[in-house]
This record gives sequence, C-alpha cells and structure tokens, in this order.
Amino acid sequence: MSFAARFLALPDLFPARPAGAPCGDETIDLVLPGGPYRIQGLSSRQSSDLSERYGELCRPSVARVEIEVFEAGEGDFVDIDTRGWRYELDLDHAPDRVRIAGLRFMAWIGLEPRLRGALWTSVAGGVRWTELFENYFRILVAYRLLELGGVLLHSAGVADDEGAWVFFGHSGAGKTTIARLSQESGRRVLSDDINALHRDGDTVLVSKMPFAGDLGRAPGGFGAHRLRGLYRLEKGTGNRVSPLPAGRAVASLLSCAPFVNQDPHRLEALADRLEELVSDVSIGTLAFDLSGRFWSALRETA
Amino acid sequence: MPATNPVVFDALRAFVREGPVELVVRGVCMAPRLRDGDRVVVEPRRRYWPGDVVAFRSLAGPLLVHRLLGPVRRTGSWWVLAQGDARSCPDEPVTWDQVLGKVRDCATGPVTTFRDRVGAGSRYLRHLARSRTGR
Repeated sequence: MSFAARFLALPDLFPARPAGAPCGDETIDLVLPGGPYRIQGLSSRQSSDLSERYGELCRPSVARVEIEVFEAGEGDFVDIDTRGWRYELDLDHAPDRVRIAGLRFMAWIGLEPRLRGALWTSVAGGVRWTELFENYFRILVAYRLLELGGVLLHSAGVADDEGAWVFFGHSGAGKTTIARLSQESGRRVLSDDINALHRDGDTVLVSKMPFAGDLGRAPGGFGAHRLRGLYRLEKGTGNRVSPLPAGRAVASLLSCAPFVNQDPHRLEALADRLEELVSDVSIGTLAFDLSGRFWSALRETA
Repeated sequence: MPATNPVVFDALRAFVREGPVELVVRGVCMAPRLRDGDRVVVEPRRRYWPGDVVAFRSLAGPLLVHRLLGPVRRTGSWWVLAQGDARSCPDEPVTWDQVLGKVRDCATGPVTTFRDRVGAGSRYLRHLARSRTGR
C-alpha cells in the first residue's frame, strides 16, 4: 500500500509545502529539550487543551522550532473504525523532509535549511487532538534532538541528587521494573518509557519528556540532569554490571532510538551520534534481580 | 561518501541482525538497476551467492551496495569480491565480516535476475583469469 493510502482519502494530494488555513490565531510555546517549540495557528480550544496537557512546559519563550497547525476537512481522511485498532503511523522519509500520516492528521517535518513542522487536522480539540498532536510532536522532537547531537531513547530514567541513570532495552527488558525498584529506594523516576539525552557542550544531560510511561506521570521534574551512566538491561539472578563493547552498545541504542532509526537517510548519522555518546559516558550491561541491590553495583562502576 | 567508522559499522551489522534495515543508494555504480537516491532493504543471510547485491564496508571506509562476484583467496582466508554493475573493474576484496547483508528485491523489481547471476559469474571468471596471467 502506498504512503498514507490507509489514512488519507486522496494521498496524492498530500500538501507539498506547509500552507493552508490555520485552525485559529493562538500560539503556545513548549519548553523542552531541543526547543523551545512554538505551536502556532491553534484554535482557542486546541490551545487550551495543549496548555492543560503540558502544564508548566507551556510558557512564552524565544522559539527555536516552529510548528504550524492547519485546518483540514473531515473528508480529507479515511474513516477508520478504531475499535481494537492498534495505533499506527505512515512515515515517508526524504533527504530534506519527513511526511507523516495518521488517524485524522497529516504532517510534515522540514529538515532543511532548518527544522520546522506543519500539521493538518480535522480534529478541533479534546483528547483526540492532544493524542494526535503528541504522536506527531514526539517524532519532531526525535529529529530535533538528533540534529543537536542528542537522542530520544526508549528507556527508564532515574534521578537523584547526583545526576541521572538511564536504563535502556526493548519492551520486556525490565524498564518499568527497574524504575519501580528505584522509586522504592527514594529516587525520582523521570520516565519508564522515553527520555531525552541531549548535550550541553561536553556534558550529556537527561531530561524527562512529557511522553512519560506508566511511571513518571507525576507533575514537574522537567529539569535536565547530568547523565551518570547508561545501562542496557538484562534480567538475571544477581546484580552486576558488565562491560558493553562500543559496537554492541551503539547497536542496542540504535534499536531503542524511535522514529529516526527507521529513516534510511539518517541511520548512519544516528549511529555516528550514538558512537560519540557512547565514548563520552559510562556504559555497560546491567543484570538485576528484584532485591533492589543493583544500586550498589552501579555505584561501584559509575 | 563519508567513511563508516568501524564501531558504527559493527553497530549497523548488529542492528541488521535484529531485522531488515533500509539504506539509501548513493551514486550510479549500480545503474541502471539501482539509481542514486533509491532505497534498498538490507537483510543478513547465512549464505551469499554470486549475483547477489550486497551492502558492505569497503576497504576505503564507505558503505557500498555492489554485486557479489565470488570468493577470492587472500592471506590464507576467503575474501569477498564485488563489483558495481556500471563499473569496469571489481572493488578491492573485503573480508566476510565487512558484509552487512543482502539487498532484497525492490518494489520496482528484482535486483538480481538469472542474467545478473550469469554476468557476475562471467566477471568472476574473467577476474580469476586476469589474476592468474597477471594482466
């Protein structure tokens, strides 16, 4: 099936450039790693829904990335029965842009000469609007972080007064378990699903993203933390940290870097960024059991 | 094309083992079958055959997508000899661990036909003959 055919009534008429009638004249700024991001062309309902969803992250700022929101007609989209439907998106990668189609929206991320976004939707507000916006926005953030030498990573992030630890691995690797065990030991969970790794000069920072998993939905805690260690999770019978060769580390991180790792135009660039990251931070494989004693093993190696 | 860092190549190879990976073809070495900007899907194989289109890390560093001609003996082990369809001579052989995987047939058609296999075989034999005569 060709790009967007399952979502758009007329996929060949996908907008060639970011243009159209805005949904309204409201604007909000989201202060997140890689940003601030300015979302403009919002209706007042869309704006208030996003403000409610992102709370303290919405504050007037000097935007570095702009996203325009345009109105689309209901008839532009295929009517999909969402009962039992697993959320999916269609992505089309090109050297200078990414096109995205999903449930009642189509979107575009321009990558050159500077990163910017455009979103067309028929959804006027409510949970459907915030969900579709977030499904688009997290892809845009992944590209923005890559552009800046960082990465959006499927991982559990845990912080304390000394910095943050990031544990990565596929679904079922134990991200939520390790986050819960860390929480029980008095540490703060940034997210048990997705975290941003970004740079401030030579320092690698970890930030909680608003796209948190089951844990990490507590309000606040969006500041950046210095990365103390990056560990690939392995369930085991004891608690130990073992070395992770650079090639294996980059390969494991590649598979945990959503969206951008599917882009054939940027796969090698992503691998290069990850290789730089791996050479700058403490990295290893962590085998852990449910006793919560893995923190001693981490402290010995961090 | 920029050289692929060995660590990055190892990572890509491990990544390909987890599942097929899409790459973009750069240049016209594989014209007319593959053109500049074409996207190909690379997957690991346990065995490769003459005529297969493979992605590998060249001696100079960049990733290449060229057609496999056959094995050649170098420093006591078997290396891989490949050549772009539009090139007049084979690439410098590389070791098998530099092969990322085989290019799947594209939506636009097969990347390897029977004729391509025969062509690869004949190029391979020509290379062997030249190596023996030193020409």
